[in-house]
Amino acid sequence: MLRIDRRSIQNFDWVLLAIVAILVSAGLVNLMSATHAGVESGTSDIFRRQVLAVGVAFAAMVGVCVIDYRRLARLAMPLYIGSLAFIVLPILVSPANRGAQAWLFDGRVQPSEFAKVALIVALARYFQRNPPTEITRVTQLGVPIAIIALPVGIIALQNDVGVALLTLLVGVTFLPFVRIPLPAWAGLGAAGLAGLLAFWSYGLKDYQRTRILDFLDPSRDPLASGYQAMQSRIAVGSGGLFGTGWMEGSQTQLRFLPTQHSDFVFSVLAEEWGFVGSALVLSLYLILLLWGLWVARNAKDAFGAMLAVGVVGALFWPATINVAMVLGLAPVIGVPLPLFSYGGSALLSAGLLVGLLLNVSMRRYVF
Amino acid sequence: MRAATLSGPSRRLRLLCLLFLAAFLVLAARATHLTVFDSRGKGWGERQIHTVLRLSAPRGLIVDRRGVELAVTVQSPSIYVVPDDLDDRAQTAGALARILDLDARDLAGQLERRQRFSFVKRWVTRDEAERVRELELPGVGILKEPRRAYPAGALAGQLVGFANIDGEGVRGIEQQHDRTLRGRERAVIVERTADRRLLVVDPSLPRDMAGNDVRLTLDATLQAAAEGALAAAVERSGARGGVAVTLDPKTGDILSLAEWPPTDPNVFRQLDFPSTRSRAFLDAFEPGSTMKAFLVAGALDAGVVRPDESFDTGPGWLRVPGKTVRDHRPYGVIDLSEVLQVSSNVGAVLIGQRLEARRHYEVLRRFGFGRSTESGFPQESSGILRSYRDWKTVDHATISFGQGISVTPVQLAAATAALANNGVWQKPRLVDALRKKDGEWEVLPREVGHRVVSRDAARTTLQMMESVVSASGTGRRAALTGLRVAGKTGTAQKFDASAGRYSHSRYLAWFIGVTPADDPALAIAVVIDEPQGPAHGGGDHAAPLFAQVASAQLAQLGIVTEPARLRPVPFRTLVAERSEFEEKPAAGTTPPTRNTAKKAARRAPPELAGRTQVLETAAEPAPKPAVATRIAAAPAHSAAVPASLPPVSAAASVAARPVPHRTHLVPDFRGETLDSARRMAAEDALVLELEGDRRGLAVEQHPAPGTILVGEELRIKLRFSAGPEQRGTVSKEEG
Repeated sequence: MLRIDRRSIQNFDWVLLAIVAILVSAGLVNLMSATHAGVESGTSDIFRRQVLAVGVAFAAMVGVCVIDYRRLARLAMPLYIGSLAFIVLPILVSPANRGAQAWLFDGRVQPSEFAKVALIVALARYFQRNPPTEITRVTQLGVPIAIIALPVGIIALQNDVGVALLTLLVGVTFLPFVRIPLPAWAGLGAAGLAGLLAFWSYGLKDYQRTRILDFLDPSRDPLASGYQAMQSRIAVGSGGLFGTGWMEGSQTQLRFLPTQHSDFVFSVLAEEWGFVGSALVLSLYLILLLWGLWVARNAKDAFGAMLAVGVVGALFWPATINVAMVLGLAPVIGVPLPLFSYGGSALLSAGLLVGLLLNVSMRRYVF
Repeated sequence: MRAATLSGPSRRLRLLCLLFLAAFLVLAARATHLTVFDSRGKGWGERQIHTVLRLSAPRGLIVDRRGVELAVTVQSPSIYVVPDDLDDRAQTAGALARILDLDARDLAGQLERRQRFSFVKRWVTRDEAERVRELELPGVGILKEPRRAYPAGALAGQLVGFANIDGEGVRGIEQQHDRTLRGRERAVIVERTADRRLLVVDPSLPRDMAGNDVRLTLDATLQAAAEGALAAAVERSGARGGVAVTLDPKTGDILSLAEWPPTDPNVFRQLDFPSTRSRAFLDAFEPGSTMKAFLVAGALDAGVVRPDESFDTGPGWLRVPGKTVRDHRPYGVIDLSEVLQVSSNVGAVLIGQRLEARRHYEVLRRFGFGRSTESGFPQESSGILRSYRDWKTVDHATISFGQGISVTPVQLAAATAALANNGVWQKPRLVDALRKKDGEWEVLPREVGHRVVSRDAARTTLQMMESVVSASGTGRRAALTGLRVAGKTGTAQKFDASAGRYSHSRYLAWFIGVTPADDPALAIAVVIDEPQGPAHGGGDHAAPLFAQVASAQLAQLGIVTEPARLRPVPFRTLVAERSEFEEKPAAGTTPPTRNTAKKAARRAPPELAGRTQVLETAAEPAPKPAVATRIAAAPAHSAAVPASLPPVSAAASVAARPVPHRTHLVPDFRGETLDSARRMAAEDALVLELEGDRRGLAVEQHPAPGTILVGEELRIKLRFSAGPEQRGTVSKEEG
């Protein structure tokens, strides 16, 4: 099965690869400017580490492409269980780190990023065996909800609210495919809301609640926790239509934004490249997502289609939430912009996701 | 089959698709709103940072090889305003204009423009800044900006170059080593305090943000000596300008590089930018007969001529296709050394023919002509040396005596240094060392030079060039007392681009020289651009300048010498007495004084001559009058030539006359075109009085050829005639 079919090479999805490559390149250019301030000469350490991470992620992507995705179906369960063990690890070995315990190896590896990938494979496997179109009763959703809830719960226990939410949303992406009646949808919604309220009361720390309150009213305390949201808005507003120019953004270069290389990297783009630059990058994301849906539609089997849907969901949610956060439409939660933000683990998991998508796409005609 | 897998869900896929589109539409709408329609974000940003200035940390120093500072950075106050914060624009404008000596109406207009920030006047005096500060005007601030200052003034101005008001090196070393010198740029935030006073938030400056220092190979003392001599020579000759380059032949270090007219980088804002260029690096000139030295070296190296070989220069002219090459007068059979000594064009063409175009071209390339010396100086010219493949016979002929080739003074100095360095060309070095962050100097490695000609060929050529400086040579006025000098004169007609031919009135006077010839310490190339008056040749202007530069510089190095005062002697007389002359100077040029001088040099290390001397000379760039008048006033006495000939009418040489009293043998102008007659007259500093049809050839002259003239201004009457039978021999200058 390791052999690569000639047809799958002929059908290699160059367009998909090109879109991703453009996004990653734009991300590097942007990161170079975001980390430029205070750098002695040349490029920053952060930038160089990111370049390295791009290389590793590319290798991972190629690696994932080589193995026929249908082999993964049988590996779904071991992968899923392994990933659960992996995200439990930080709790056991690492002391509290950045308010969240979700890091390994002195904060160099973030296991929850990889849990997402395993979750997608597991859900795709489940829905391959139990086609979502045949799920018509809420009770039939018990197993998939459990598959989703396990990793989400563990991550939430580690206080990494952003990642927990994203993992949950990746699972939610599959929901539109089930055929449960309207009242059942309402029930699910109510249950979700109740869960959120419970989470608000018991699952969140004070500072997290403050963040959300600050989002609802940014001027509550502009120098404290609303600061990032405020600075982000200033940066975006300073960009105007065409931006201040690469490495010319005064908000960026004076480092008014504390995490401008990771979660707020999009505000750097917005300041320096303006509306035009941001709109271009957003369009690229949209094209990437729609292309992913096209891959799902043309997938050779249900497993492939579900994999593609999962990948698209895993890219869609963080991208929109991150941009919404930068634009002041969402509270400040630690969600990086996929393919753009600084972060080796996120980039590597994005590489795996894109690899899966390419894998499904290139084997759409293989028997 | 595929249809079976997802036919149902494809509607759900469309749902997801719509969800995505909606989400991105919301994001795009929000982005549009924030960037284009809602300017509040921008306003908040402006409130928190009034404006951001990009200021450079101080530039590094430029020092000479001994550490004399040639460029430093000082902090200079600048006045700025934030118009939005002004109380009364007109009143503020008036008050500032009074103090800063600006036009009140212009300033008021500037304040009306609603910029966030603007400089009113940069680099004001401390006094002006203090008076502005006392006014305590809202919206007006003072900022200290780094400013470049050049303590040595115009000393080596073109070489050092300058940095513009934004601290960016745009000329000379300042440009070449901008990256090293430049301080790291930093953002300085201008904030507004609650009472609308402006506050420059200048984060404390880490030491390592300042630029690094650059140490030149230049010696400010030698530079001052060269500039003094050059200024005097240019003034004396009424020339447009001049250049004098001194290299250490063993290392290629540029010890001095004097240029006239001078450039004072302190006042660069008042100067016309093109005029601040270094002509020594950027301008290429025809080198004239100085090229013969390199031709002879190449021919000796190739073995196509023997050192003792004689050449029959025939009647003093030689036809090559397209041109008649002429000597100043017929020299008959002369040896290789004499070709240089009398600068015979015919002899040079004969040697060139032996060498052949390809090898001739190659040796010139090896000497560094036609390519940049790669000294690193910004916009350095390569000069012009066409490939031998494009040479016609006439081109090869003219290149043999330095016409149809262009060189920069630095190229010529480097080539001369190669002759002095036993035939090894060294890349001219401008920068000796860069100071690293830890304060240690990191000496830039000297590159290994390349061999141009064999050691023997270089040494023999240098020996022959000593005859040029002998009493009978064209460069006799370059002689120094007690030291051996090897040199070569050159006189080039400038090309008149508008007329499309060589000019008859504008010349370049060249001299290249090496001293002491037996142990070269200095290799010097000098050029005087358009010397005025009847005498405009290299021997008349450039050779004495060489002597002045060399003696002044050797004095700084502890070697005591002075320009030898020679009396010009007619050539024929000297040829007759050659045997005598060849022995006498030989005894005279290795006198005990040389050893004494060297001992003196050891006793007084050059460092002692350092700093104070420079500053004195820099403050007073005018020539030392004593030396200048001595040269001009007393041409009749010679230290090097024994008094075998009586001084000629010594009473006539009055100090007031700038042109020395001369004795001259009248050449034969008959059969010459106007052009070549003029050139001959120019070389010998004769004034021509012309009659007849000037398109033709000279048919009569008075006084007759061979007459010996004595006087201050030597005049020759020539009558021209354009007989049809003579047209064929009319030589035409090649463009």
